Formats: sequence, C-alpha cells, structure tokens
Amino acid sequence: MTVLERKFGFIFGLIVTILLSAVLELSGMWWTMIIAGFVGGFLVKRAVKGFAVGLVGVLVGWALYFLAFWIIAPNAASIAFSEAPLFVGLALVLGGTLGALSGTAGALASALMLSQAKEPEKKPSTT
Amino acid sequence: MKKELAGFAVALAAVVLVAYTFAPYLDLLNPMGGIWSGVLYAELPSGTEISLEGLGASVSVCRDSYGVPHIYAENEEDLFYVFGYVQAQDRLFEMDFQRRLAEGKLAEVVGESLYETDLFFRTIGLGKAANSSFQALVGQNDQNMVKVLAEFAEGVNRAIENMKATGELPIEFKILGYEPEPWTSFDTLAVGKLIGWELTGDFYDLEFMKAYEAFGNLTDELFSFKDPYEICTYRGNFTPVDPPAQVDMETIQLPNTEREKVVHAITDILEWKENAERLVQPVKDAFASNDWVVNGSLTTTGKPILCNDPHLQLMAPPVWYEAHLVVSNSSGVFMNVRGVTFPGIPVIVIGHNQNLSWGFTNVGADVLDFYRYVWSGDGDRYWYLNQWEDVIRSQEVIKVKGDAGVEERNVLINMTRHGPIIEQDNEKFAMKWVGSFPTLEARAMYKFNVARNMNEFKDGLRDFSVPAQNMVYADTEGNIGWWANGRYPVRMNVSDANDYLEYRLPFNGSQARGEWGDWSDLDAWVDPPEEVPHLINPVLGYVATANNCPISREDYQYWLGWTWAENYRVQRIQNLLNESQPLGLQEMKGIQTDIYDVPAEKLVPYIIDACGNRQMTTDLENATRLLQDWNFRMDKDLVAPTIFATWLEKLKNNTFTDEYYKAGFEGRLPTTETIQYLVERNSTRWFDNVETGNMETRDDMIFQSLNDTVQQLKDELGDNMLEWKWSAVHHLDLEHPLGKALSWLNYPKLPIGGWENNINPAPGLNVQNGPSWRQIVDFNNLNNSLCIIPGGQRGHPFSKHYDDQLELWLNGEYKPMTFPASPEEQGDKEGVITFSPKG
Repeated sequence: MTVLERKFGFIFGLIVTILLSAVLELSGMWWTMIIAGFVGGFLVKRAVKGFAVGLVGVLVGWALYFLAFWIIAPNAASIAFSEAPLFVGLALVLGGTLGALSGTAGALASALMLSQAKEPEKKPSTT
Repeated sequence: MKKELAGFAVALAAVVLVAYTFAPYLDLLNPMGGIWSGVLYAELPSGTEISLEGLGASVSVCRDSYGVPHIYAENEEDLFYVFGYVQAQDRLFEMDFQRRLAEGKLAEVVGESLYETDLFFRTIGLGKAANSSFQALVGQNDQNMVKVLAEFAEGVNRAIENMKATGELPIEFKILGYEPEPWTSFDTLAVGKLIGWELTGDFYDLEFMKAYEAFGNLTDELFSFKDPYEICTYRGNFTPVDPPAQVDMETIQLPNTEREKVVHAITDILEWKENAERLVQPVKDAFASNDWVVNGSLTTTGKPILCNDPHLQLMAPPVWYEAHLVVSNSSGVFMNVRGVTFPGIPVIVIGHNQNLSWGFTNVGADVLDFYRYVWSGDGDRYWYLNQWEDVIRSQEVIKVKGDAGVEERNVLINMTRHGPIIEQDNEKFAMKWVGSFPTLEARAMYKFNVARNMNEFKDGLRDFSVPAQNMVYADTEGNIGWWANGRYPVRMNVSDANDYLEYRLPFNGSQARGEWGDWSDLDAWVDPPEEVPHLINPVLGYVATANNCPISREDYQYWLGWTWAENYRVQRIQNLLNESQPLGLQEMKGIQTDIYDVPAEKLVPYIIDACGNRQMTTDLENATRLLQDWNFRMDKDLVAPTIFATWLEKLKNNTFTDEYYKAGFEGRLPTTETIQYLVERNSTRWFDNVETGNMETRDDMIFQSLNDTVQQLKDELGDNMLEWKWSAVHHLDLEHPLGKALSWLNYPKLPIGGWENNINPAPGLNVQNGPSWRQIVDFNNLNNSLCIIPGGQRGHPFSKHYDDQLELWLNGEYKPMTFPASPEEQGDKEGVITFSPKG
C-alpha cells in the first residue's frame, strides 16, 4: 500500500460510498446500499475502515436526501421530521448499519482477493 | 486465507441477516422508496397543467387557502371526471380504506386482525346491497347517474395511474405495502352503503331483548319508551292513532329453559359486532347531530339562515371532503354547489347551491329488524308459516394477508327469506335492513346539488331511503322546511300492544310476524316526502332537530322507532333560538359552539341539597362550593365540569350496577335523562343498593357518588383541587386508521371543552366523535356563509392542509364558505391546476 493510498484511501472510499449510496438510492431500493457499502469497503481494504466507510458513507448519503427534502419542501419536511423524528433517526441508523456491514464485507472481500493473489508467490514451484 | 474467508462469510451473513430482519423498516424508511419522499408531493403543484384522456374541455381547479378545490367545468361529464381525480389526489387512501371496509376486503392488505371485520361486513352484505343499487340504476335506464358514477371512477383511476407512474401514491400504501386497484361505480355505492350502515345498522332489538329478559316489566324504567322529557320536531296531529292496548308482558318473555342460552348468544353477537366494527365505532357511539333553519322573520337580514353540524367519527383526516363544483358554459350555469361529501362519493352530501341549502341529522329510525325461527335438527331449514324452508347459502372468499403471502379462506354466508343469518353459540337471528334494498341515495343527492327550488329538492327526497335523515331546507325565495326523510317499512302482522313491545324485540320469523313488503310495493313503505313527518314554512319561524323524536307516537300512524336521542340539545337549541332573536351569523356561531350543560343545571341543585345536612370533609365542601358557583359551562379551564362529569358516571354506576349484577345483565347504562327522571321522582327502587341490608335513598346515592368522585380525582389528579381542570382529563384524540401503530399519523392530542349532551358535544374523556362539519349558510349573501372541519382537507400527513383547520375548529372559529362563480372571482387562491384534454 502506497503512502498516498494509506492517506487518501479512506477518504476516497468514503466519497465513493457517499456518491454511490446517493445515486443508487434514487432507485428507491434500499438494498442497493449493500452495493454502495461493499464497493466503499472494497476500496479501503481493511475491515475496520470498511465498517467506518460503509457506516458514514450510507448515513451521509441518506442524510443528504433529508437535507435535500428540507431545501426543496421546507414546510412539508419540517412537518414530517418534527412528527416522526425518531423515524428519521431510525432510518439513518438502519441505513448506516447496512452500509457498515456491507463495507466490512467489501473490505474483507478485498483482503481475501489480495491474499489469494499473494498465496501463489509463497508456494514453491514444483516445475 | 482461511481467516479472511471466514471473516468475509461472517460479514456477508451479517448483511443478509440485517437486510432480512429489517427489510420492512428499510422499505418504509429509506429516503426515496419509503415514506420520506412523500415530502416532495405533500403539497399539490400550482400553475401546472394535467392532460387527461377523455376530457371534453378544459377544467380549472382553483385551490383556496385551505386547499379546498373549486372546480369549474363546462359540462357535467368533465366535472365529475376531474372531481374523481381531485378527490384521489387528496384522499385516495381513505377512499380505498372505506371501500375495503364496506366490501370486506381489509384483511387482504392489513392481515388477520381484520378478518372478523371482513367476515362481519360480508355477512351483512353491503357489497351485495351496493350491487343491487347499481342494477336498479341500470334497470331504470338512468344513464345520467350511471355516467356520473362512471366519470368519477374514471377520474379516480387516471389519478391512480399517474400516482403510480410518478411514485406519488399516498404514503399509507407504502406503509401497508400494496397498491390500490382501479375504482369502480360499485365502490362508490359500497361506500354509500357503509355510511347508511354506520348510521342505521344498530342491533337495538337484540340489546333490548337482553335487557327485557333480565328486567321484564321494569325494563322500560331503564330504557324508557315513553320519554318524560320528549320534545318532538313535529307538534300536532299528522295521522293520529289510538293508544296501543296493554297485555300481560310476562307472556312475551322467553321460557326459563331458553333464556340463559339466548341471552348468552346475544351477548356474543353484540361483542362480535362491536369488535368487528371497531373501525367505525365512534360513529356508532356518537349518534348525534344538530341542524336548524330559521326564516327571515327571525333574522337580522330578513333572509333565512341554515345551520348544520353532523356529529360523526372525528379522525385524521376528517370523514368529510370539502368541494365547490361548478358547471357553466355560454348557455348558463347548470350546477354551482358547495359543501362536503364523503371521500369516494361524487356529489355534495351537505351544503348549498346558488338556490337552496340543506343539512342533515340522523333520524335514528328503526329500519333494521331481527327474526327468530324454529330450526330443523340439522340447522339447514327453518320453519316458516306452515312449512320448512331451506337456508340459502352462498360461498365467498376472504383474502387474508399473512407472513407467507395472501391466504384465501372460503366462508359461507347463510340467509333466510328475511336476510343474512347472524349466529353465535348456535343461536340464529336473521337480519333485515332497509339498506339491503336497491336504494338510490346517490341520485337523491345529485338532485339536491342541481335543484332550483323546493319542488326539485323534494324530487330528490323521493330517492333518499337510508339512512333516514332530518333534512332541513332553506332557499333564496325565503322558504324553510324539514322532512324526517327516509323510506320506512310498514311492518305487517304485528301488535302495537304494550307500547309497541313486539316492534322493539326480534320478531317470530316462523310465524311471519313483523313482515316487510316488497320494495316495489308502495303501500308496504312509508314513502318520502309526503308521508314522512315534515314541516314547510312553520308558523314558529324555525325548525330545529337534534336526533330527537320527529313526531309523537300518538300523532303518527306509522312506526318510526323509539331510540331517540336525549332532548337536552334540542331543548337548549330551541331556548337559544327563542332568546337570541333577531338572529345573525354571530348568534348562530354562538349556538353551534355552545357548551352549556343542561343535565348539570338540572342535577347540581340535588347535589347541593343532598349534602346540606351531612358531615363533610373540607374536600367535599370545596367540591360542592365549586359546583354551586358554576355557570354549567363545560369549559376546559374549569374544575366543576370534572367533578360533575365524574359524579354523574359514579351516580349511574352506584345506582344501577347492583341491580345489573343481581339480574346477571351486562349492557349499557341508562341515559342521563333516565337518571334525571329518577332523581326528580325520588325513586327508591333503583337507588337502593340491593346488596346491602339497608334501604339507601336517592340522597344517599348522590352523596356517596360525590364522595367517590372526590376520592377518585384525588387519586388520579392529586390533592390540589385547582388542578382538576376539565382539560386535565378531557382530550380530543383524533386517530388515523393506522394511528395505533404509527402514532405520528394522528392529530395532536388536545384539551377540549364540552361534553356529551351539549350542543357542541365532546363525549367521553378521549373524544373521538363530535361535530364533523359545521356550516352556517347565510341567504342574505351566500358568500358570507361559514364552515369548518375538524382537521384539514388533504389526507397527506406532511401537508399543511392535513390539520390546518383543527385549531380553528377547536376554538369555535370558522372559515369563510366562499362561493366564487368563476376562477376570476376567487379571492384567496392558493393555486390553480388546469386539466386539459389529451391530444
């Protein structure tokens, strides 16, 4: 891993996750957040970072929607969010959790692929 | 590598587990696919154009500042088409919910919890009744009404298609996870039948039978047939009859061997009905409304004023949908009507047009009978006159949503010649109800909408059969009127002895007692408008009704019923109308929102008297002082209403519970009028507690009830009596149909004044019924008319119009019932949507 990768890999993964979750959510299908988290996690390669990227990425991706709703329809949004603030929180927690676990899975998948790629080098050649 | 593989597998499993477990929540809560995107379409767009296939010409829909649509069309077809579209924009979920309730299809989308509700409504057959009404329209070749219904349905369906395409279906569909099916004319008629059922589908005959079997001759002291305070709307001889004979009542009771079994079955039937109908129960409990009309001789302007506030279920969103419908073109104005309708109904139900106005209160007529039979051993046949007749069976399928998908359950609906069989514990009663017949209320109301004078209005009355309504009327020519309008069956082969006792109990079906004639036989029915009690331009100058007795039994040859509302409201309305002349809008507002409690005025002096010579604690002294100084207004900021309301419930319980227990009777307590009568008459029979060896007196009960009241309020609200304000215990509690699970859909719970027998009633402690619409129509200038609904126009919970009238309503305020003849005349225009023909 290069210094650049180490320094900016997390941020890059986070940005990708935020963008992906925001774009994929346009479809209205929440399960696409698994893809967003997974890709983000895959980019950062380490489980802890994958967890963090997925959690924060999907959470921010969805929060952007709530912000957009607030900007586009402030009256309706204020009624909606004030009537059911717990549900807003729950939405973010669930989205974040899904993103975090997907991010972890993505990171572990990435690690798995790396270790698969490295393994042949360790084995002595039989030919 | 094994470590990485295991880690990946665990993480993947966790993702699947979370996704699977929380899928329903994620469906609901994700920003775009769930409820939140509803924010984007909470308000309707303004200044837009919607193209609709099949529209003949452009239609303008101007929304006023409360979101009420004023629809301007050039022809009726376009008007009803767009009205269907507009109603669906605002209230599609309520429309769908109501039709599913009527047709017994709620379990399909909600699940097992509403299976019994579906079974109940399938059994009473509202769907079949709606079908018979539709067939009657077709059979009579009433192409106009068939077209009205079809155009409305078409409009609803265009709206559904557009909402589906744009993902803008009401959020309730997302919550329940289904999409609405297309709307049909049949659905509109089914919703109409449901309203008819809510207002007339009472099992009083069974309730009375249960009480009668428990108390025999004394039953009338509890559930009085002869109301000592009776105030009838019609005073005088309409078609007088001789008083009925008296016979030995005991002979009519069931033999002891059957009594327990039958009473037990009735208890179970009533319980089944109550559970099945819990979604509409507040309507049933309310059974109240006020309307009055005053002619020009009593008003400040010399023109009539018509007031109406139907008391129905109060819910979120309200049961009513407000609209202004105009059809005009170069040839003239064909329709210009404003008022309210029920979501799903294409015409204005209560309101006014440019010529006349009308309002409703429920008559509370007896239009539902039960029949008992001798049954064959196998239960497949019943004895009728001199032969066995087979039970008619039809199979229906009720769909029930479950975890594994939708299950189909076959159910058998059993009928006798009289109607569907209601059965519990192997005890069967057949039910006959006017609403089962091919009634034509939609056509009646269409005729009201376009009527130009009283004669044309009366033509509409002929078509209005159920639910029978006290219809008050006023017109621009200065006429006023009232009809206790409905179609009432003339029972045959029945005795009027003992105060019409046989009418009040289930009939002996095997002996063909209490038979009704054919729907087409005019002699078999009391037909509106001529044969029903009515008044046109009464000498008194006004007519007021509050579900009170329409006409005295002695003054009318036909049986209308006997379960009239208590007379407190009508008495108070009449007093205020007499005292407040000349009457203007201000006076009418004051009367409509009056919370003076007549029962308190009558009963509080007896409390003061009963406490006079008794040893009292400081708390009791303070309580009596508060009652003594009270102005009898059920004001939410006063303490006396809390004390009085609690005391009255205690007095009823203390007076009757012992006798109920001794007789093994479980049922409703007698009315406040009954207890007032017993107090005034100083009856010892009921005040004595039969469980003690002593003879308790009226004053003992009054005093004990006050003691109990103070103790209970101290326990519940604390020792400081100043904190026992009515607002501490009495709240407006308006729920959304899904509000039990998602409380944020409900309206906020708010303290409210008033109580059950006030003109402005707020019955119970958690108020869920009351004035569902207030209108004051001023014939001096129809544009000055006033109205209000308890909530808002739009069903979208994120919309500002979801509850923007609630506070006004609660504070007894009104909004203008504007009546602009064209879009240009509309003053408080919030937005305009133009519907234009496609292509």
